Amino acid sequence: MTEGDRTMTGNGGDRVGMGAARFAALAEAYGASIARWPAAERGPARDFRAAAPAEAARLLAEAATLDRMLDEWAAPDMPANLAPRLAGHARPGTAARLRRLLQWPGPIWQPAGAFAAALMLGLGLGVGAPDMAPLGGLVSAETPTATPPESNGIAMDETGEGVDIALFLYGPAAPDAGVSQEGMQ
Amino acid sequence: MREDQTGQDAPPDDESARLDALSRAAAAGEAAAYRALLDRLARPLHGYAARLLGETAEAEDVTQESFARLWRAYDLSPPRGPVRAWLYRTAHNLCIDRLRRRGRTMPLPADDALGRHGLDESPSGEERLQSAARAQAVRGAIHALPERQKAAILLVHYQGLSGREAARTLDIGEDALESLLARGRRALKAALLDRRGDL
Repeated sequence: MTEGDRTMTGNGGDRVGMGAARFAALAEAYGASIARWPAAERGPARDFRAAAPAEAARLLAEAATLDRMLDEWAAPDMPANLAPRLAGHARPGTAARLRRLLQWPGPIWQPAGAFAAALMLGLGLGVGAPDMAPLGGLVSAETPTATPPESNGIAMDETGEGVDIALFLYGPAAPDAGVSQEGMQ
Repeated sequence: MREDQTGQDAPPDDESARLDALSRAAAAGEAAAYRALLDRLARPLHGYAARLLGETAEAEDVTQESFARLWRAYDLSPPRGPVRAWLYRTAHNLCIDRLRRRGRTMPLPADDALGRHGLDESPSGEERLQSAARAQAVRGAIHALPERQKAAILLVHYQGLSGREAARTLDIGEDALESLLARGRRALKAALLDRRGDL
C-alpha cells in the first residue's frame, strides 16, 4: 500500500482520493460490505466505487464470495435457559444504589445545609445541656434514679432501699466521688 | 452469519453508541437498561465464545462470568470505552485461559458442529448434508488459523464489531487488526474457495 493509496485528510481538509490498491486491501480485510469498513474510509471508498464501478464491483464480488462461504457456519444456538439465568443477576449494584440514594435533584447546598444545621444543633445540645453522665457520682436530677441532694450520693430504688451510685459504678475505692459531690454543693 | 443486532450492512459504530448509552444507564442503577444490554449482547457473546472454544457448555460459563464481571465493574469502576469491546475482551481472555489450560480446541459435539443447519428443514436430506459439510469445512478452516487471526475474523465477520472495537478487544492497533484480518481471510480463501468443488 502506498501513501497515496490510503485515504488521507490533511489539516486543511484536503482529501487524497482512495486508490484501487487501498480499496482492494479494505475489501480483502473487512469483506464486501463497505458499511462495515472503518468509518473514515467509507466515504472515499464509495467515491472510488462511483469513479471506477467495474473495478470496484470485481473487487467486492471477490470478497463477497468468501463472505458467503463464511456465513455457512452458523453459531450454536444459545441455550434457552441462559438468558433468564443472566437476567436473574440483573440488579443494580450496591454502589449504584448508593449513588441513586444520594442523588439530589436540587442544588447541592440544600442537603449540605441540612447536614450542617443538624451538626450545629447536635453540638449545641451537647455543649449546652447538663451533663447526663454520672461522672464523679453525679446523676442528673431529671433521671428516674435521681439522687436527692440530701441523700449524699445515695439513690433510692423502687423498693426504698438505698443504692450508692458511686459505690455501684466505681466500687468502694472511688476516692473522688465525695469530692465532686462537695464541689457541686 | 453475523450476529450483531443491526443487520449486515448497518455501521457497527451506531450500535456501539447505543450500547454505551445503555451501559451508562445500567451503571447508574437502572435494571431495565442492564436487561436491555443482556438482550442485545448475551447471544452474540455466547456465539463468540462457542466458536472460539469449539464447545457450548464452557461458552455458557464464559458468557455468565463476563456479565458477572460487568456487574462488579459497575460497582467498582465502570468500563471505560465501548462496553461491547469491554465485554468481548473479557470473554476473549476467559476463552484464551480455558484454551491454554486444555491445550487444544475441543471438537464440537455433532449437533453443535452443524449449528443451525443441523436443525433446518431443508428440501432434501442431501442438501442438508452438503450444507452441514460446508459449515464443517468453514469451522475447520477457521480453527486452523493462528489464534489472533481466528479471533479477528470471528470478531469482525461473525460478531459485526467495527475495526476499532475489535482492535480494542484484542488490545492491538487498527493497522495490526487489518493485517490479521487480511492474512486470515487470504488463508481461508485458499482453504475454502480453492476446494469449492469438493464441497
